[in-house]
Amino acid sequence: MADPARLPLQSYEGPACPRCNARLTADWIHTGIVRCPDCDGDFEAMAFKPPPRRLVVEHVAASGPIEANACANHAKNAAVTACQRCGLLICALCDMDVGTGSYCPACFDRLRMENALQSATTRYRDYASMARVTMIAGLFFSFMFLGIPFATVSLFYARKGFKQLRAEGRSIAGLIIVVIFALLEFVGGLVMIAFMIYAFAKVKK
Amino acid sequence: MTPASRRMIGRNAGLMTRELIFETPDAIEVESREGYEVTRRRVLYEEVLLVTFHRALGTPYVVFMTVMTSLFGGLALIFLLSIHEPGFAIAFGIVTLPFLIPLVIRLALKLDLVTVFGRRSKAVIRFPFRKRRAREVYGRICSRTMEVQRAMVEAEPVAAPIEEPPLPPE
Repeated sequence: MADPARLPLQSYEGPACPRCNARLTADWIHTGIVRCPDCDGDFEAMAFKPPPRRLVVEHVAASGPIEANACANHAKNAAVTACQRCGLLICALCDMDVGTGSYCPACFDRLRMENALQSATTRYRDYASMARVTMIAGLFFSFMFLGIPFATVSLFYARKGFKQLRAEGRSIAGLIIVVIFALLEFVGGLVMIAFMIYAFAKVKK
Repeated sequence: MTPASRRMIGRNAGLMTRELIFETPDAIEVESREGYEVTRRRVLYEEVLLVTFHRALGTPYVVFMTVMTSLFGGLALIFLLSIHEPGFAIAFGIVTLPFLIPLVIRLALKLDLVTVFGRRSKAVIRFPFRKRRAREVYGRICSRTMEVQRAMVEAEPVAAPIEEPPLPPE
């Protein structure tokens, strides 16, 4: 078995010196100019003390069984909402609200696995980059008549990229240039094929 | 993907990292790009512990640029002074420029870094040129964090004591 001390995983351990990455203890976390005890380098800092997040969990005992329904997972807690997917009554502890509605933990996990919750997606494909790369590859291989398939793939990715960039609120200027080049590549490929057919026909005559 | 209510505030591009940093109403969003895959993480304002600002040289970058400048610049000098081939010297001189100019700029301006440390993750934003913008972003992150955390303290509910239901009469 591998030595756990040798594992390359580097977990985040909290505030550190931005110069040398040495972990800062509570004494060194303050507002103003901080001099790192390890590297002796200084940096400007603004320290915060975020209050711990407290959930208001209403108990069924406090409101009475007639006033409130019990949570499906925590019998003592009063339900505050129902899962949008399965309708299960859930308390504030179970309420997985990611801005698109309330879900119970089981439904949230399933939707996240299926990538159905956009706001909970943490990994996705960058279609704009894919469109750019296929367009450039098409330019390189256009002399081998591969410009047309590459341009088609580039335009396909560009279409998806437009949707993605719009959803993210980013500029689409770069992608428009990619589309123009992909169209030129496509038309150029067609012209090349047409010219070759014409040339062959002329030679045959 | 996230809704359109976010704004790009900077980048963190190094030898091994390629990250875009966005500002959203409730967090700093970091998008790491590995090929075509984008991985996103967030540093929530309500969890920010420390925001730092410092100016650094960026040693790996400076070392790399110095090595490349000395390599091609040295060859240009050898061709000019020892072999007396001005054509080759000019060619190597031109190759040297893309390394020399960024090196001089970096030595003159240095690199401004804003680091946001949260409870569970951190975000680093690099500003090689726009120094005023670096200050502005640092100030904005600090003020937004303060605003969010103050609102959290104000909205903190007063815990009501749980009353035990009365026991049935014996």
